[in-house]
Amino acid sequence: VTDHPERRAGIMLVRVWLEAPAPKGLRARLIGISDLSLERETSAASSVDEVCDQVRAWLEAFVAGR
Amino acid sequence: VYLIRAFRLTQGDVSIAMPGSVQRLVAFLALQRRPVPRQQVAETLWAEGTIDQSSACLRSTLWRLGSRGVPLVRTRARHLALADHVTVDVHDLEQVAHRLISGADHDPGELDYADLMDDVLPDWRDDWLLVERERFRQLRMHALEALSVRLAHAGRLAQAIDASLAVVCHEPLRESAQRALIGAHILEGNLQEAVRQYRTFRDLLSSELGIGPSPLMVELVRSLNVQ
Repeated sequence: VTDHPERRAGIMLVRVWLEAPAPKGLRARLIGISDLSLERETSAASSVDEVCDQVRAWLEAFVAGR
Repeated sequence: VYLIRAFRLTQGDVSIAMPGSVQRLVAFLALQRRPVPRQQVAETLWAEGTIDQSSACLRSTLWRLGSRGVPLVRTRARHLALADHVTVDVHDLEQVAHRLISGADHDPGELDYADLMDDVLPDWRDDWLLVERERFRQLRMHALEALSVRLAHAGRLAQAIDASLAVVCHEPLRESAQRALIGAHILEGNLQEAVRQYRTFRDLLSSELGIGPSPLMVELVRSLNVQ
């Protein structure tokens, strides 16, 4: 996969649930797999903005090949 | 058709071996639960080829299945579906999970819930499986949590701890499961373990999310005098 940059692929899974009424009770687990042959990276968030920031950071790292 | 832990196909008591391509087709149709257009099946399962190549792979797989004389797949016009007489372990377990969540089963101790501990086809890496595996995972986490609370109420504390531990191991930030686990330790009289579990959770919340436990959790551990 890494020999063909145009074929690089990734998956990001965002698992969300509520521990208390939204928005305060929002919890999210983000699971990113930047290269399908490598290990996954996980992080957590507790607000919509945090989730979006982490998705953006993951996408930017993926595009940059980091 | 068994999809939990690993693919397995049986007819009566006899296991039937199938090639990998047939296994993927059967698993895909089993998890879709509805007739799926042939083209969509081909493009999903053989996504790397052209449309013609994908369609050829599907035809070849259907031929392989047909040549074994096991009527697993119903072909109708442009759609494919699992045959009506085929039972799927995931479907059965989903019913168990929904009954647990709704509180419909009166005696949780009678349930065989071991399969709720395991994922759908955990060793398969197919993209199309990710969402279904995750959907089922969330359902069984909810069910295990509900089961844990009801087992604790029924005095089956060791089983209650097993069920809530399974959820906590999967997602340690899930506070409702942490409460079920800590509550079961308290009911069991194992206060040191309750305190240890609470501190671990509180520290994890702080380091991962920068927040503290909810008022419900604080109330649960109030009698433990945790610092």
